[in-house]
Amino acid sequence: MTDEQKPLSRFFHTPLTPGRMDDQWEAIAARLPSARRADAGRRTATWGVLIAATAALLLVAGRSFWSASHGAIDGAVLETSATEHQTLVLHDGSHLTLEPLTRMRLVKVSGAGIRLEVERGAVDAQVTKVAGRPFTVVAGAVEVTVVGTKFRVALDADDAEAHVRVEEGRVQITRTDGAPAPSFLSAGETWSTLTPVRSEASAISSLPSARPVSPAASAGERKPRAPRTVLSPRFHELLRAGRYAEAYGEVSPRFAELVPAANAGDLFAMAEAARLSGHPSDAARAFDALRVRHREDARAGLAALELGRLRLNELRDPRGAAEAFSDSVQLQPEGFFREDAEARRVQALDEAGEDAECKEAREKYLAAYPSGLHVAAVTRRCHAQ
Amino acid sequence: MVAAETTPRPGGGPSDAALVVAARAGEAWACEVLYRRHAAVAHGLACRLMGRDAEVDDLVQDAFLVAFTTLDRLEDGPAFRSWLCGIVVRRTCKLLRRRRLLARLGLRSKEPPPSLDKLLGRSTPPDVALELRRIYAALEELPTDLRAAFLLRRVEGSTLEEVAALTGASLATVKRRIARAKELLAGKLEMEGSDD
Repeated sequence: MTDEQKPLSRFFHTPLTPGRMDDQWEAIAARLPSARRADAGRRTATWGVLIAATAALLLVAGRSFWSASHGAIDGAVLETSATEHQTLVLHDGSHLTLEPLTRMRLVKVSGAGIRLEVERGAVDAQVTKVAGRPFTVVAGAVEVTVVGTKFRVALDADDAEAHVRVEEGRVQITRTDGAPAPSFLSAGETWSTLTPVRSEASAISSLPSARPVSPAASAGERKPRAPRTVLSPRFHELLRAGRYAEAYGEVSPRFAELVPAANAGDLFAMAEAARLSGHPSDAARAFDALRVRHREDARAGLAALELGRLRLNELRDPRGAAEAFSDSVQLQPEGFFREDAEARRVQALDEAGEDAECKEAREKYLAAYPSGLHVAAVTRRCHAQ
Repeated sequence: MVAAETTPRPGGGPSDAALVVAARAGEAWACEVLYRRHAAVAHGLACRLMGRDAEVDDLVQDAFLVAFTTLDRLEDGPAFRSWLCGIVVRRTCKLLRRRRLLARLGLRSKEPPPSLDKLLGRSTPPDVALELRRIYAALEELPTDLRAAFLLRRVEGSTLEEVAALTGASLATVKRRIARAKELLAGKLEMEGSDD
């Protein structure tokens, strides 16, 4: 290829710095949950949303689609990639088939009893009948004990749901947390239940709150457990499916009384449902509560920004908006949205008639972001000459 | 023997196809891996299509969000990158069309031609830099579809079939657009003979 034929792109140099890449990803991740919730309904019914544990433990691409393992040892962990099924044959001839993206621990496979734990994903089991030999599969707080049968156990850790389906024979169900459960399931029966997830694997949420947020927390300091959700599974299901009006309908009759009791995640979810279904006042209430009561939550800065937008654009409260924008910068000085917050604060102060403060904010923005996205708009504010 | 805890494939990590499958299943980490793997390509493409660095971040973020929320439409997992680039192209065209409309309505001031200063490498010969600035300045006046087709062909070096795939147009339409772009640019620039 001659020089004349080579593309002109070779003269361009457009590197993407690691810092800029991190900022971009933060912005994408912050918007991803809503967007992905709208598509949740398209997921195949038999797939659960999995615990997103450490990525390094996952995916071995290139392995054969099916692989058979013979023999087993106590304590071993089996893990399948996104495109892989894995079959394990135990010493008694029982067959276990792990579906893609499954992690299962062989707690005990030697000796008289067999005990397996599904940490995420799904396992189909065909168990050889051995009189007096317990064969137990654990998923969260649910224990499925069989004598000899064919069944499936799945743990949907993100939704905190366990699913059991029996194809042949009969299984005994118990719960270790005392919650009610059917004693037995027979062939053709299925059962699903909410369950606390027992695995210690950390869930990498696409929401930034999954990262440590408290700079004051020492390495050995034990963080208090987050309060339980005050929202129903139905609300979360509707929100994930993008049915915002219906999700809002689940909480609107008691919105005001739910807000004080809600944790940061609940408040963010309630605010989203309210905002996306056209209820800015309630959305602002939830965002305000989040940024006031949970200032160390990683979403607090974003909540303050959203609050500012609602106050400025829909609630006709420019002074309140300016305060919220200012707070968002204070909460997250290195946040990806800082420039946006600073620019909108100028707009809010201008609309509030705070001329002196507006000019000061305008000069501060122009000094900090001389080539910023909002330079033209900011320059026109505060009765600029 | 039972497999012990798995480790990632050495050297490459999961394939795009595997990541797409995981992302469809709701794995946020898979989306992040896809993003970090392809962000630089998307960023560079957006910069060259826009002729500016400004607003490229928003463009790239929007493109990835669209990609992650419409993964079900991707039929060929390994083709994630080219599919993503198509989204970048179409989002850029949409942004440019909106800007021009706002400028025509007086709701947005017209921007000066791009200087490309922040986009060109230091080793770019001065005559090439000058020519590129002239081309981009002239492209400001062209309809968006013609501009995109011309830039993809001439700057990105895409084949006609690739341009068609990236813009969502037929091959015949792409040929027509590129020819028309050259015709319009010929009045403003001295162009070399067509090789299409």
